[in-house]
Amino acid sequence: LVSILRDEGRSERDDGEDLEDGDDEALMAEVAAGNRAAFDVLTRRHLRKSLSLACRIVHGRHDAEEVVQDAFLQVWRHANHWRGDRARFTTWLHRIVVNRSLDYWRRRRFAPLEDAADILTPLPDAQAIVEERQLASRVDAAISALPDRQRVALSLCYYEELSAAEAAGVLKMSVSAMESLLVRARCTLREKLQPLLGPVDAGEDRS
Amino acid sequence: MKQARFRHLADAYGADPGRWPQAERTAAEALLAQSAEARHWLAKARQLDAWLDHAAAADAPAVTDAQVERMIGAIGARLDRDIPAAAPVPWIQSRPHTGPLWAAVGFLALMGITGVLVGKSGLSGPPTVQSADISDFVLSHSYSLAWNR
Repeated sequence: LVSILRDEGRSERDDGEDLEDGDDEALMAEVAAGNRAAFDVLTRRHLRKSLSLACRIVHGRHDAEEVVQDAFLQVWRHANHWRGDRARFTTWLHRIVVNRSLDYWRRRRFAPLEDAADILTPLPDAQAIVEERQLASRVDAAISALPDRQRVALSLCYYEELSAAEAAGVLKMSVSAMESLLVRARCTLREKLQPLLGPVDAGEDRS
Repeated sequence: MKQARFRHLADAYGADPGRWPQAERTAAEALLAQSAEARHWLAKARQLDAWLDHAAAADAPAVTDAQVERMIGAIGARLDRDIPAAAPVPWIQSRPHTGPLWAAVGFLALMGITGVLVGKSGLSGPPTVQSADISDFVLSHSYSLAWNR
């Protein structure tokens, strides 16, 4: 009996190791068959990246966590709809995360923003910290004001470092359309942030 | 590569050539080495990158192992709650399963053979007077109804 139990334990461990070694597409086939262990491996593998992407779009850690939980539940529920021959798993997952994030973002756009942390103590570096936070919050505000698709394109290509082709796959568009989105996003941001450079540098634009 | 394309790439992807389409990097670097205008567009892109990096640094989601475990636990708990909601089964598949097809076919064949044998053996008995009367009535009336139409 002990040897049987030992063999079973070894077998389960081997199965777990096999799953860990499996690529996303193989794991998705298991998930579609209802394999929770495969789903756990897949979730663990892609959770950080998904959370990072959601955070950039919804601008809130708590909301991002909810978005990512919903996204992975959708992966589980719709695993049998995924076709490995049409798109990579990561493209499909990113698309789900982006769509869920945009849903959250649109619902909460008009909700009051959380107050920024107050800086109460005038420490020697306090001025630098204040300036840094002010700059960050101006850039964040400028990014938040971008149209949804431009913001998502920037998040995918600049912050998540997807290639234009991968990001285009997520948003179901051509690479040239993705490039145009990025150009528009960056031009808008530059116009909004140009005052940070001051009047002299701002006049250097040759366009 | 032309200046316009170089500017477009810098405007789209920023100043880091590592983010540019791989097929165009060599040509872009060649242009950069010989063109002050290209360097100008790259400097502009670098300035915006610095701002974007600043925001990213302020907003970078540092995900801890504990957070990952907590979220995986939460997802698992939600799955456990949701699992009873199984996918609907088509009605034709939801009927009770009565056994393999060959058993049903065999049963029907056996019943057919039994019926033929019983009919030939005369076990069912001759028609009674009453049943003959009824059949005559039905036949004659149905013929006359059809004839009179």
